[in-house]
Amino acid sequence: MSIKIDVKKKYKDFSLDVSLESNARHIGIMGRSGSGKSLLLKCISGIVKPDEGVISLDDRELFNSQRDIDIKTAKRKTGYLFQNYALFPAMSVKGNIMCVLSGSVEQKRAEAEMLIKKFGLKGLEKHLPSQLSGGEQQRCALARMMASKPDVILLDEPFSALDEDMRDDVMRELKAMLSDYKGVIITVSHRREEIYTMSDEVIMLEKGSVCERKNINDIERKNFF
Amino acid sequence: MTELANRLSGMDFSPLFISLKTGIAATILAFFAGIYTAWLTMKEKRGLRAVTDGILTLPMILPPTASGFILLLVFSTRRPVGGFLYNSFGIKAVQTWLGCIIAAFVISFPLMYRNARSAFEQLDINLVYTARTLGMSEHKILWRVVIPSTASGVASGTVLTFARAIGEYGATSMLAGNIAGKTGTISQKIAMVIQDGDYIGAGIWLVIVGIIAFFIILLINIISMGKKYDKW
Repeated sequence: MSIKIDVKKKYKDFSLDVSLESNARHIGIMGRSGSGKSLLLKCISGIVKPDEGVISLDDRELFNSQRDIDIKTAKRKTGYLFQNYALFPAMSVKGNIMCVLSGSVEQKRAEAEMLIKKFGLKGLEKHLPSQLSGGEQQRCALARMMASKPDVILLDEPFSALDEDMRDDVMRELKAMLSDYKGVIITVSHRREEIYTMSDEVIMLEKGSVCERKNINDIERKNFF
Repeated sequence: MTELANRLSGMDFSPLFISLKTGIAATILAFFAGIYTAWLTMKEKRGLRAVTDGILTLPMILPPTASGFILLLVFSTRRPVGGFLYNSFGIKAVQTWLGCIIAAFVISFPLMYRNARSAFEQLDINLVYTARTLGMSEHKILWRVVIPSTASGVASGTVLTFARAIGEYGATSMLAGNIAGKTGTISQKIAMVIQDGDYIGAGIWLVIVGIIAFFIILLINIISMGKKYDKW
């Protein structure tokens, strides 16, 4: 699956101007705070509308200002993992997953059970998000996201809410859990080690523009950490 | 005591039932209208939201009698809207129980709308964004994500709306009048018995309305607290 992004967006005093096309399965976007990483993800998911440009997944255009195409967020099939995971606070772990699923109650129950097992949430089904640890919240958010069967997964600083000592384990866990996912994964972070661990292709963003692009194999290992 | 017992046994309780059913009907209408309007205004741009908010809050700022006068102008069968409703559908609001509901709804609606909007403003916007990326419809987001996440704010808005609706006087007297057994509410009854110098009668109604209001607030407080209760 390939992704093409060529967008311009003025947002308050900031200007985003990104142009990239990639066939990588896992793209890592790195940049300092305020470099436009999250804004770019919001443009891809349809939360923010770019001023002009094109966003497409394979042949499916999600946004094209010239052709007046702007697929609604709910129809884009983009899974977005926010920094704080944004779990629905009044719903249990199972409820968070079930509310996304469609089909008969039996089908939904079976699929939710499968996701609960896959993401290591067994025994936590009835817990509310406030009763979960950071890692459990992340797994629940991922399970819920996978329930929506997204074509592209957007991970916005996925480890920033976790304690330093948990981060490495959760990073490896997340990579393993997403290993059989067939779509495109885009991770944004300001931490080099997170991007290098998670990605096949690394894109450096600065002041709203792509300033460097490298395949993970071209990056010397000694620069990783 | 004997006099009180005699008064109670011979009392016409219709104002109580009219107030309760008016309050319930107006609260149900204001609940849905307030929530949907608050939800829609949350999607508006800043400037437009300020204007819409001003218009929707007007009945709370205007004297109830002024709102009642406007309603009377709108719903009078001699005016275009009222005439159309009466001639086409047989709907008459002036001096009817429907008028009680309309007046109570118009006056209490801003409380529901403002409380719902305040509750929505406190909500983490990422919950709504996430729900959209998960493919949920706007209707489902509102009722499955937003309302449960803002339940206590919405519940307190509902209590205030009901309290305002059962206590409505000014607009109700203008639009629905005070017809015993038909449009006469507790508020109108209290005003009437005081005018007649019947302070015992007014006191009885005051106690009745006080008890109702207290128990409803108590019930909603228990519901809105739910399982999540932390003592400071």
